[in-house]
Amino acid sequence: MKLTTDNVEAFLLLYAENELDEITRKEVETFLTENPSYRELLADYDPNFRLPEPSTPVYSRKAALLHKVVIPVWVRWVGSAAAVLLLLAGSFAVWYKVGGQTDELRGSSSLVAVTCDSNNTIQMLKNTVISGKKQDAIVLSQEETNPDPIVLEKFHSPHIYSARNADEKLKDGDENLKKESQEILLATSEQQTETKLEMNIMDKSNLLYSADKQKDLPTLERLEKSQANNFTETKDSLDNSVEDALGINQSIHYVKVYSFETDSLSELQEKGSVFVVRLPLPENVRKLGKFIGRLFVGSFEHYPQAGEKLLNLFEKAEMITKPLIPNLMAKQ
Amino acid sequence: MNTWEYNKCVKQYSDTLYRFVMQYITNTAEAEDVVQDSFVQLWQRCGQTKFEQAKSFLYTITRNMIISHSRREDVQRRYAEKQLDSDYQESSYRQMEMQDVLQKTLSRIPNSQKEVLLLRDWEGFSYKEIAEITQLSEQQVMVYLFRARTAMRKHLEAEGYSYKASLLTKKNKKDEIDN
Repeated sequence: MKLTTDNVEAFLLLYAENELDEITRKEVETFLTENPSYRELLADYDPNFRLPEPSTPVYSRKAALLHKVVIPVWVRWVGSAAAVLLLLAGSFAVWYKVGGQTDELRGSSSLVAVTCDSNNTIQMLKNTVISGKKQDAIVLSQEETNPDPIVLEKFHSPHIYSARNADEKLKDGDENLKKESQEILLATSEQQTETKLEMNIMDKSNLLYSADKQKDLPTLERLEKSQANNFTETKDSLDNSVEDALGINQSIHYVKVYSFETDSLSELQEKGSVFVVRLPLPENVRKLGKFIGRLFVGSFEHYPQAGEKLLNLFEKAEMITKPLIPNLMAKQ
Repeated sequence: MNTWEYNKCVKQYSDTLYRFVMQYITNTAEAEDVVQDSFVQLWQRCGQTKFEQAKSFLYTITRNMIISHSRREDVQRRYAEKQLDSDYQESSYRQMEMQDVLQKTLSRIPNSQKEVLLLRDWEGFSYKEIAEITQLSEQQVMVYLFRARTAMRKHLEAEGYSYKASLLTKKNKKDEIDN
């Protein structure tokens, strides 16, 4: 666009509004020097002036102009079905990721008290009162515990992967029970080949952990205090190690163990200490979860990985819960 | 553009479009009719119009309707009469509401400049969009805009109004004496 007397006002507008590049600005300035009469024109223009905007009137027929958005029936059905599936999958994921792997308590119905004897045999305790909400301590009444040994074949050798000082106080019961509790992580026998950590609890007041990613986890071994003292892993790094070793942590269970007056796990075992195990989802729910997972695999050809992952998740869940459910539920 | 987008256009643009029309057609019912007809046309061409182009399209068809309406009703003649009336009523200007002042002042500049000014300062169109709506060249749009702003500022100042920070304020007597 060349600057002429016909279009000079266009250039003056852009000049005043500072919308010109440096070269064109200079051209305009040269033009103004050569044609001083246009300087007055420029001086009359106020770049800050904009036409004052009055209040906008309301158009009263707006509603009459709107058209109803029609959603096809098939979209509604597909949408509803997808919403239900997502809700179910989401609920399961929340339960599994949040409720299933933390110490969050979701009511006593999913918790069962068990003991572990010196042979690593898990026994369920009858008539045990377990209560509590999120962040609260579990209350166990020792008087009511009446061990009735059962052997869970696939869960006979629990291995401790991590331990943390839960530092919870028991609300009721014997004063002696008000000792610090320790949360430990158990694995089922199926995971032994995958796990690469071992650890030991030496002292309730000074928790020591050992972790060796190179070793497969053997049966629980006590470390001598001298050995344990050489170990310097901190709790946080240990937690990371657990995650590193176990991948997404989907195949492990958190349980709580209350140490009461004992100092070491072996003593706990000898005294028949109490574990609280979270019961897994009922079988029907698991079947439904697997069914949904298969639907995902079958229906979403473009996203086979998502379906596979979901199915995998449910299958892993079943793998974990399978050994626990029949026996524990039967005995409860 | 789908139904949902069309409805969004109605909600988003109907008020400002109505305001734009009201600058040319002072009869409320007639102005509302023009806006309604514009949206009917937009609805009929939903399939061929993209949502991003809807605003431009609306103002283009509205402008054409205003021109048709003006021809039919001979609005220009009535404007001329009003112009005379307004000159006659010069003394009563200062009692008028700000909106009336604006409307009267706008009526003093040529329609071509006025529409460019409204489309730019009120509706926020780019020079290019205004050129498409008014079927002028971009350069001509800028020339009209330059002239319109200069003229409007002068008219408003002559009426005793000053413009500062998006507000039109009435100068008091003391200011006028100082100036």
